[in-house]
Amino acid sequence: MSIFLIVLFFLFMMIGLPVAVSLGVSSIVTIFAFSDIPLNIVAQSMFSSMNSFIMVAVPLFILTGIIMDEGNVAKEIFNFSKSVVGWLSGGLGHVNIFASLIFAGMAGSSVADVASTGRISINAMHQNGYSKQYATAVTLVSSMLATVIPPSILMVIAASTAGVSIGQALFAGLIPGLIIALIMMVINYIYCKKKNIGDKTTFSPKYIVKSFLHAFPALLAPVILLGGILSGYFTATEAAAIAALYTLIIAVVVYRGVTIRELPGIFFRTAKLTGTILFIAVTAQVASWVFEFDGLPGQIAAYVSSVSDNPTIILFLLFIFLLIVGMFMDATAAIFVLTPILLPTINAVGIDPLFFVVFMVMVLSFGLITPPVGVCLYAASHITGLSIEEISKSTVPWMLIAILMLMIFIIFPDLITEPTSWLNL
Amino acid sequence: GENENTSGNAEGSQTGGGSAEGTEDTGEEGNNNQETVSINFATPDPENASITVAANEFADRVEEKSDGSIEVEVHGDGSLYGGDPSAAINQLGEGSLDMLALSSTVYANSESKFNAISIPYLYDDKDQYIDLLNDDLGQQLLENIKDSGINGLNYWPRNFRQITNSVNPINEPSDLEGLKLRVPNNPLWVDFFEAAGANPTPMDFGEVYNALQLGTIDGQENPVEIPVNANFYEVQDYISMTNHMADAWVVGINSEVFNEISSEQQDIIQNTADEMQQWLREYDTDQTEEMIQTLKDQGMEVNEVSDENQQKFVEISQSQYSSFRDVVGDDEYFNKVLEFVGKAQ
Amino acid sequence: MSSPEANAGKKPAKLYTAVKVVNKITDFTAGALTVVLLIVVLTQVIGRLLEQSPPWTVELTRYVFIWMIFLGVSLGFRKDESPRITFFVNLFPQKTQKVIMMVTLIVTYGFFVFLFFTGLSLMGQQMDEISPVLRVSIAWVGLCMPVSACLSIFNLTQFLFSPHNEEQKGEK
Ligand code: NA
Ligand code: NA
Repeated sequence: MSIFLIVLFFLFMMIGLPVAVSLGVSSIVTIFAFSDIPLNIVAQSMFSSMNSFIMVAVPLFILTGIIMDEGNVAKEIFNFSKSVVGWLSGGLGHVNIFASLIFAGMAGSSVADVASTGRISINAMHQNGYSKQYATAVTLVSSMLATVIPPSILMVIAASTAGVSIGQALFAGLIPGLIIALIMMVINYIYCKKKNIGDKTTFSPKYIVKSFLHAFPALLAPVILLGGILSGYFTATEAAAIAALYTLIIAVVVYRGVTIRELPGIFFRTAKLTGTILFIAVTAQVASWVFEFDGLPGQIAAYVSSVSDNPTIILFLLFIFLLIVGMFMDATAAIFVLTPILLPTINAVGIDPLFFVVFMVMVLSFGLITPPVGVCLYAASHITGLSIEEISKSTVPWMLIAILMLMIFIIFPDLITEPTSWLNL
Repeated sequence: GENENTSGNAEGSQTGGGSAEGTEDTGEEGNNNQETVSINFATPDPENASITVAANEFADRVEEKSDGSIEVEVHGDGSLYGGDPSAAINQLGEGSLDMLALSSTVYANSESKFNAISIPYLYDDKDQYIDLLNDDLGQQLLENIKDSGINGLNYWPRNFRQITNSVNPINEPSDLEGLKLRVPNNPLWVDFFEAAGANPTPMDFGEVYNALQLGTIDGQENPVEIPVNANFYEVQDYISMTNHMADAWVVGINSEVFNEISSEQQDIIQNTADEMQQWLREYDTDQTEEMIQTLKDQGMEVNEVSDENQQKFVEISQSQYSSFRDVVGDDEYFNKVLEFVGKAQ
Repeated sequence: MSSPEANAGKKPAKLYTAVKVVNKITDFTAGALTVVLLIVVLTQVIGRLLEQSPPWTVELTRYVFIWMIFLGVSLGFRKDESPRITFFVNLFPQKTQKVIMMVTLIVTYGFFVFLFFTGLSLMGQQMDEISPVLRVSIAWVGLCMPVSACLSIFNLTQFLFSPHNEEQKGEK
């Protein structure tokens, strides 16, 4: 019955039915066809899926993202990044990555990064001797940081679906995110130096101080967010509300990018966007119920354990599987559908669920920039006017590097789990 | 309602079909004519938690006694109802769950008299608690849920609740002063702990571990297996055996499923559910000793509350009886319960 | 936006106003729920810091959140924003695409009709369930599902007849 559901789901999805509706309808048909269970279970599961406090961080992070987008915060971040790393070889490439890194500490979605700091970076790079293709490739790869580094909407979703502490999962992305950013900057440096492309700015301490002061209120956001959680003032979910309030205040009072009159529209869009994103979670819960009823997670765990009991090998298999899934499926949907199915396997082979959550989010965030289904890819195409094919071609080398980086984390899982204990988490 | 899911996740157990497949006329007797029924049995906690262990024991016994004519598949960790306890009750009544063990506090949301079981410092000891459950006062509540399509088989006991925190051992009410204590969303808890001087704080269970660790809250209260299974010992210094409140597992079966099986099968299920009450009590008693030892080994300080101090807590609870009476929602019933435990005022 | 309405008769104009009013009300409610959500979670933090935690924050947060999500779901259909995969459909010729589009529309309508009725029936079950702190019937929370189903159907229809969609058809 699980197989039937999955096949039906892909059929519906491929004919362009909204992903969430596809999941819901294929679950309903499956329950109706294979059991005499009353169909009320559908409404009940959908209701239960959102009867959760933890998930509340999602709309609050979305609200923060929208306010930052409209509040000219991205521009301040870009200027500050330019002053700090713009004078290096491959200057604006570094600025692109560094701006995404800072943005990642304030906002939780990769698409938002592409649309805000990405847009500014691409324009600036293009005007300063970098090809549009290269600028877009750097933008896309660096947008992964927004999902990996706290705060992160996907991380909240994955952690709450897996029953892992969201505080731990959020912080666990910090060090891997910094490592990824560093590697990307090194590659950008080597590439630009070799090909001798791109202008660089001159190093100016005065400019650094000036742009820092401008960006300071924005830069304080991650400090308040992470510091507040670590010092016990608020929980990770509550931190999302604090972040939203703080960005609201700086956007209205300090940067004046948002007026009071615009607020109702912002709140409305938050509700709409959250509903649109989490609709998939709502219907995925029905599918999960069918899978559990059918015993699928247990069967998969038994099967995988019989293939190998080496966690590293299992992780490599999962890695390939998630890469493929990420190419064809929305990351949110993949998390909701796959986490309950894969978790028993993870437990059976002794992989730390915290590691799994962070790793899964990293792999699926990679899927956001790959064709054929990648929201960031489409956003970038929309901004630059380049076709999906052109962008994808220029992103290939970066993608190979990203895959190598993800493999590093399979081989050294401590890079993800160990730092949380340094933070006393 | 309080059904703490502990940190670990249950392994997904395999299940057979679903509810009872249409049995023929029930008049026939004898094993040979009995059709095999497959029953799913959901519990809120992971595989190693005592309620899920008990459910598995129940499954084994029923299968053995019925010569395999009743198959029970246990699904722990709330996996069959998306971890939403209220959903579980609806699903049980409507037939997408066949059997369910769930805390009486969740049932209290639709039958407020279940709240009486959890009145703070109601019982002198565990014997009295079990006596109340088995008395007509307890059993009549199981009758009351019949309307929603649930056949309440019996109560299975649960350990009393204890307080853990990182400020000081709780020996008497004054030790609670100003303590940020995470409690379930329920006036029984909130009113009692407020009256005792604590600062009862609502918080989703999923955030409790980190909140204890980072000092967002000072402590929490739950039956002793929760701090063990959710690793709270890593982030808490004291566990105080306050025995302040209790709840009970309501073990229910979908009425239609129950009515469709043979009377012999019905007897097997009913009798096994009854005998598991004593089994779980003994299991919990053994486990409690082991768990307290575990907590000590992990560096937690364990303290008991003296009879004299216990009385101080009882008095605080009594000072809130007028509010608890509202929560129970039935004066006559409330008075009868107080009479039964010898605490009528 | 006004072109199809302008040359239409009086009746459609009235209908158009009614549609606008319903949209305004849902938009406002959705936005208001976002604000309430933010305020309630902030209240929880402040309450704890002041050692005066109100007991209702976790409960209210959950209920506001559920309503917000289900309203948000329906809003995603007014301009066809619910994520879908058009990659494969676009491989087909135009005519086939139109047929496929009709099929997906009918299935989506069917899904929400189904949700409406099972949602109502769930409310029936939730009627007697009272929330522990706020003492409200959970059916009030469950109401969000039939409402969301109705609004989704309403918005889907609105999208179908919207000028934007007409334009698309015209291009083809
Ligand atoms: Na981020
Ligand atoms: Na970037």
